[in-house]
Amino acid sequence: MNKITVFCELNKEKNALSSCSYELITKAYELSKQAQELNNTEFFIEAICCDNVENIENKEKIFSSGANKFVLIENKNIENHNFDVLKDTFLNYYKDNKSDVILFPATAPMRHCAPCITVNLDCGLVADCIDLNFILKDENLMLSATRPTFGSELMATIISKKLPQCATIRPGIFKNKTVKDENGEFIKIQSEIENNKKIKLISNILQNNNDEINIEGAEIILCAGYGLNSANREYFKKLEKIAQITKTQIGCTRKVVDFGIMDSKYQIGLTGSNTKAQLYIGFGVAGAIQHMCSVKNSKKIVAINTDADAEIFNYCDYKIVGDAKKIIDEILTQIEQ
Amino acid sequence: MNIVVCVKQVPDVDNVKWTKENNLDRSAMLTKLNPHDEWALDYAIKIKNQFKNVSVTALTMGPNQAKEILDYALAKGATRAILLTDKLFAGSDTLATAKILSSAIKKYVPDFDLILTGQIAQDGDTAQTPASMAQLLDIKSVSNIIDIKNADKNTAIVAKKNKESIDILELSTPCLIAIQQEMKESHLPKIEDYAQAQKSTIEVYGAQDIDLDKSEIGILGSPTMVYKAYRPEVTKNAQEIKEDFAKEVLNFIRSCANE
Ligand SMILES: Cc1cc2nc3c(=O)[nH]c(=O)nc-3n(C[C@H](O)[C@H](O)[C@H](O)COP(=O)(O)OP(=O)(O)OC[C@H]3O[C@@H](n4cnc5c(N)ncnc54)[C@H](O)[C@@H]3O)c2cc1C
Repeated sequence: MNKITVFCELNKEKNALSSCSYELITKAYELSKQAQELNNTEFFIEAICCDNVENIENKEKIFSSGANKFVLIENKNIENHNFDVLKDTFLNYYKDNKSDVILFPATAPMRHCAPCITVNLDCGLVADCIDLNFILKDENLMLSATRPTFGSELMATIISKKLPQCATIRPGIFKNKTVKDENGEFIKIQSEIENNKKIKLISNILQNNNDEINIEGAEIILCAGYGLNSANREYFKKLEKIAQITKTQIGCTRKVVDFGIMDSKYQIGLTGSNTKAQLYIGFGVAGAIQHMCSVKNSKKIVAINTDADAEIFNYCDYKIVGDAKKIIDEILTQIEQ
Repeated sequence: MNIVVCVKQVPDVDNVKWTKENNLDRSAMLTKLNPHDEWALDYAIKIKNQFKNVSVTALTMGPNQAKEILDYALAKGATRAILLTDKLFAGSDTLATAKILSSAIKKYVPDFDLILTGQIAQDGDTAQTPASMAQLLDIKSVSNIIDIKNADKNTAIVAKKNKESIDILELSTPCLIAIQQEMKESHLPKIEDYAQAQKSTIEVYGAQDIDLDKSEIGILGSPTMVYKAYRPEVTKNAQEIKEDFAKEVLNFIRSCANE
């Protein structure tokens, strides 16, 4: 049988799959539809999650997002900081449950774990993809995975000559949708697999994270660029205030992070987070490709820049040639009224 | 104690040049040591300076020109430099590259204690080669490391950056550590360091020297291949807003929030 396996991650707080896992399940379902149109091939969609967990919430959503089957493998030996047990747990299941395609979330842990798995399968792995399609090549269905490379100056579409065809996919690129009913096969497996490659966790230091930030899931992003800079950096604070009042999410460019103005968790772009907001507004953002590659998927893009030839205007739906600082002051006056 | 640092020569992606046909013009681009690899090298040298009898081997795969970064590594304080170069290596993806590097380590630095690498290479940015190498060498590995607190022949203590926390981890050697953040006390080599470095010879090995079949290296040994590469195109035609800027911006926000 033709099969796509989605390697899912757990959101520990919600005790449910991570949002990227759902995104990939829906994408797997869409790929299967594409395969049907291309050459009448049907794919079975299997979602699998291996973790130190007894049961998880909201399994209905796994099925309605597109999965035909969900496999939960509980292994008490799996630890967050060591992927060798996780890898062995998955490989032990996989050897009797082979697949044509394996999709992994391209989160930091998975970008380490996925190659540990694929090396042992002696197959390829395309890193950090932003698009997936099936194509017909010499009458064979092949997964084509597109990723930015060369600091996003170049897009490369990559295919795998060997099965399984594997890719890690950036969170926030694909949309999770309800595509079918909530029925599917659920199996739970208990695993005792151990690995002698121990890594000792001495301590775990939480970093200050009082404010809720969610770039990937935000509907509206107000993005601060370096063009807002001034001696006392007041315009970054002012934009944050606007975001607070209008209940929108603030983000920034890497230059703003590099200059120590805002924390890296707000950074949008190649080396930061992705957004697929309904609305993105750039305030003094130049529009470097490494930033825009993560903004492009937003539905409506608005930019304010003093330079009429700013690169960002090439990506925009609406442009304002003007002083973003002045506009911020005016917005504040208007909403405080 | 034996440390291997994997280094790569990369084009300067801040300075990309294009041909008229919209292809990357690699010959017009400057090359440099991948920044993350330099940070890994800095940590290795720091460890070397703390103990007696530490060897630091800088290892790279690349064209003959990649000797430049090995000269630089030697000037920074590496004690040994190995270049893996062969036409048959060309076109290697992360799997084939990991096989080549790990085979070379097995053969030429079999008694290594620590392998240090950069978290990513600036040109490819796959971050897959380090973890793949560790699997092939059957050793433990950690990535996203922002500090090596301590490392000796037996153990390494490192700080790993997660999304919302930092883990302090202890690993027994041999192990692989992928570095994500610049080391604070890094310094550039001086002229006399380059002079000193010239006394070391760079060891050069090709495909016959490492114990891998032709089918495992280069294009043949790479399960993935580039189907097409293109410059992302920008097509949108923005509508210009000419007045009432603040009001219009607020309208965008409000109407989107109400949808
Ligand atoms: C490998 C690599 C990865 C990278 N990853 C990222 C990433 O993840 N995210 C990211 O953002 N960048 C990334 N960058 C950096 C990126 O190339 C740019 O340097 C950065 O995005 C520029 O930030 P900026 O637009 O805020 O600043 P600038 O380039 O300084 O632009 C400021 C803009 O503001 C305008 N301006 C000035 N004053 C005003 C005013 N009063 N009102 C309105 N407009 C004004 C200027 O005309 C200019 O266009 C990466 C680069 C590399 C090489």
